[in-house]
Amino acid sequence: MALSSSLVSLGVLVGVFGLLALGLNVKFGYTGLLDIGHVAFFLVGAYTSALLVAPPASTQQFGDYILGWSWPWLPAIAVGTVLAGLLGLLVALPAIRLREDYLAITVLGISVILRRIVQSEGWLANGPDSLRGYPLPLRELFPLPGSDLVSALLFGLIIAVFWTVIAYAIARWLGERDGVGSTVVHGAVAVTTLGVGYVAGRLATRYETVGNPEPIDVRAAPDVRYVIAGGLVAGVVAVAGSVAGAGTVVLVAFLGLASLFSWLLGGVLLAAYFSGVDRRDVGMSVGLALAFVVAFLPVILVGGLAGIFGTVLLLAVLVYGLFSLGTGWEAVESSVGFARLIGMAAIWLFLLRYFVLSLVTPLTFRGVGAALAELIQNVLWLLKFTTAGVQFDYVRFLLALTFATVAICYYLLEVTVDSPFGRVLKAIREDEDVATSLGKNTFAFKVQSMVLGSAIAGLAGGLSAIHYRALTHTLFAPRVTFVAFLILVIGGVASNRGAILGAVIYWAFWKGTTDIAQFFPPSARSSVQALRLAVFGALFIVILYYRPEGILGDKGTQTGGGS
Amino acid sequence: MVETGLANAVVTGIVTGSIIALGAIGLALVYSIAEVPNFAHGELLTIGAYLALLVNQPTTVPLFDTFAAGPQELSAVGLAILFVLAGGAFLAAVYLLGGRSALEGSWWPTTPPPTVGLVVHAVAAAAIGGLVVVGFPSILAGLLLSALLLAVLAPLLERYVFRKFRSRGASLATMLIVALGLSFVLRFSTQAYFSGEPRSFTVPDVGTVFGQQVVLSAARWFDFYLHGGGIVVQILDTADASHPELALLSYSWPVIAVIVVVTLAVAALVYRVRSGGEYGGGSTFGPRLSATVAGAAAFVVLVLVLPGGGSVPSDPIATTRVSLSLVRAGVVALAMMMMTSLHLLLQETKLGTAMRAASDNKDLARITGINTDRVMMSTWILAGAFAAVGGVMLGILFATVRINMGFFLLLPMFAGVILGGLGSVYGAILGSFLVGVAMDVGIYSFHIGAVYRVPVAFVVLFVVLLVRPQGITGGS
Repeated sequence: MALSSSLVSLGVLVGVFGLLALGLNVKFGYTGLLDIGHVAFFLVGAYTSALLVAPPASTQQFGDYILGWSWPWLPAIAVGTVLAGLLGLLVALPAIRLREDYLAITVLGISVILRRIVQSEGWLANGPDSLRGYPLPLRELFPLPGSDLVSALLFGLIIAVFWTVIAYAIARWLGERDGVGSTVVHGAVAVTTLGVGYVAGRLATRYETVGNPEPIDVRAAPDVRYVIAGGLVAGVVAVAGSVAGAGTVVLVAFLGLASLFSWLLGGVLLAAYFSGVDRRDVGMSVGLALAFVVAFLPVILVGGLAGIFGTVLLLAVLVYGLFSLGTGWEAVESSVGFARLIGMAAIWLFLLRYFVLSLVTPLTFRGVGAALAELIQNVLWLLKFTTAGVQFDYVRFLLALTFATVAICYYLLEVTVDSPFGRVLKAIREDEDVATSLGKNTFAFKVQSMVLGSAIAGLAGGLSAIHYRALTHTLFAPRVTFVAFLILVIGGVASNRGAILGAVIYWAFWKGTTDIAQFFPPSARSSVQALRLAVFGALFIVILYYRPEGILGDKGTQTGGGS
Repeated sequence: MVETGLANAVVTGIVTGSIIALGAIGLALVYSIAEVPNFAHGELLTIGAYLALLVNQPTTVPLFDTFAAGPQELSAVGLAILFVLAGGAFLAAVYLLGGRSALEGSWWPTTPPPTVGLVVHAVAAAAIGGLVVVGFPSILAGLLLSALLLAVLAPLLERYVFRKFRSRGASLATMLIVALGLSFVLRFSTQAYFSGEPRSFTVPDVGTVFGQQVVLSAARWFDFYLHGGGIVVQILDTADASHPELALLSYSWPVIAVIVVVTLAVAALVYRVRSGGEYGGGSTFGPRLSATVAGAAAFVVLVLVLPGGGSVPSDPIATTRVSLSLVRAGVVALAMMMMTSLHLLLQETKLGTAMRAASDNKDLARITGINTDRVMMSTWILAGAFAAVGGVMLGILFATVRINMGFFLLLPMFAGVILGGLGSVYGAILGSFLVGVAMDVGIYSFHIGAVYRVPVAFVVLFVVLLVRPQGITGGS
């Protein structure tokens, strides 16, 4: 399996946990409620959705569970979300009045109880065994391209959505006035979006003149009509092509180009984000990434106890170096902050791993052809290359679905946070007495925030039921809440972007350590996996100390609130 | 047919409660003096149990097993390592108390000349190291080593983690999250090092009690028969499949009346004597404690001395059975001993008074000249030691040592502390016993599986938080 496919699967997890963290962000980041039982709502959402979608228990051979009404997925997830929100309400009403550490313990207890119930009551959700056998949404239509009208329409819909996003991205982030002017870039974008996306995006770009007395032109929100029109045109073309029998060609053309566009967009965004970084810092970040890779050479090449020892030693040196570099950063007089440098190094590491290191195994074992195939598969990541041809498989569809859900929730939450409701929540977090003295019913606001955050967690649970395909109680251990906290603190408390970033970092770290664990002898492998959680806990404490607002949070928002 | 009933649930609950109490003591101390809701406390118990494996099961400890010549055998190098670990931990704990001057004896009631202090500490360290080596491979020696090592680990956590956050003015919630992160670090480091397979302690099966060979883990059945003439107690031995009778005690109603009256009278008398009269209010053995102890002693004496012989009634009104083994009784006894020593420490020593003062109001304590840093360190040292004992007891009781054994008790520990009232160690002890009894009585009364014990503890906690959040002793 190409690296791109495993990363796609990981991407779904990033989305699910990003949603989970977004929900926790509402409760903890914006309102300051210490909810360490967050996983309870995740559990409720997941199990409710799965139980509603599953066929009646009598039709399955393996076990027993309640409900099983064979519902379609959309209402099932909706019910799961609502139920999770309701549970949040039930928990909040008595518990919110308690002191913050009492509240924490209370909700932790509730999550433990729920998990215990699911684990031991076999009649509820198949006992300690996993709850499986429920159908996945639209599964039978995949992999695309299919041969009938329904799958053609679905394909068209997917393309339409992709092209809408593409047009939006172009309108939002690509434009001459921002200095992304080179004709090469624009030409490449036009090609990779089949012209349609590019045109729609350019039509949708708007600028507004603001500022008084010195007016300037700033980018306004894109003109949605053109964005959607672009998507529709692309979708119609896709359907037509599919129906006309050229399904595979259309698939390869659209999705292959879209993959290329995604790399282009990523490059442009990164260049814009890291603009103003001088050569020396770029060199330093590349050096850091290479140093990290080199640290693992002993265990890869030498192996055995000596290899492990060598790697551990090199890693210790690296960590120490990073630490002293970080604490003494002003002396380096660089153009970027230390965190940004680490970010750059991480991106270099990713690029290195994705485009270069992934070729090592195919090259050594199967020759240049295999390596080339791997490279193509990794570049055109939206496509899956199998012996049966080129496809758009179910996992990628799930990724798109998850991405869409996260994007919608993210947008809604950003609107909420900037609204009067959000401002009251922030006031409550900073100093509840002040908020009360201004006449706000802080209790009601806290309860609402709890309900909203829990509902989002329930939605994440529903998505996770699709991704996991089988639900076991171990998936909902209290550890999951801790992971959500880790994600928030590292990514940035009270920052929705931070929640997503934290999820990316967490799962990237997970994937990275799984990769690395492969080079260790099997006996040490489980220890490596346990160690990564310990490292994450240590990272959590370090970030909490040196940068409590997380990577993307504001300096003014501290973890834990004022009182 | 005699069945186990409510009484048995209560007794089991008391056993569970004593382990919870051992953990809750550390938790309460740290909560009130260091102001840290220590979510990592469960992991301290786990680590305590795992450290005892160094002595009790050296072959199961990675890296260390190279020194094990066989199960429960250790080469001379291994024994030397144990010696150094134990003695070194002792010295390290003293050093953490107050630096080099502590090693010279500054923490003693009367400050000795520095050399004397150093020598005494060195000798004590050697003696402790020797104890561990001589006691190898008994679980008690493991307990000692584990308590020493955790008595060093816990203050290190304070110094390198919590103190840093506290000096930044971190809120209670932040400390909680830090403790959360720390619990991750501790638990998964332990798992990474020891690997996830469950192990168990080797507890001797047979021991000598009062000169007789007894099977330690076999339960004794105490069957109570209530009949028209009184109460008959039959004690059966389960070590032998035929359940031979160990003793038969029969109490007729007049005898029972005498026992009750005399016990109450003794208690009342002692209470009177201790709370008034020439003795005034003695603080260590205050009136209530003295009365309880005296009454209990009287009860035990009378119960042992007064019964007559008899036979098992054929038509009892009610029967119940209490099942208790020596191991479990030993757990309760050890817990009681540790709590008594803690009580003595808190009441009789200067350090204990300082701890009580700091727990009440740290700033005031500092103003009166109490060295709050040293108090903080001793708090953590105590918390670590108690957690180690609790962890080992837990491992003995549940016959396995697993990675999540400590976390399993975390909620009941918090329940006990909060139920008893934050800021009071005695409240935490009382609360823990109540929680322990509630857990076992709860699963008995509602006929739900034993897997619901922790949820029952949590429900108790929840009810307490709703009804009386300041707990029994009322301090908040």
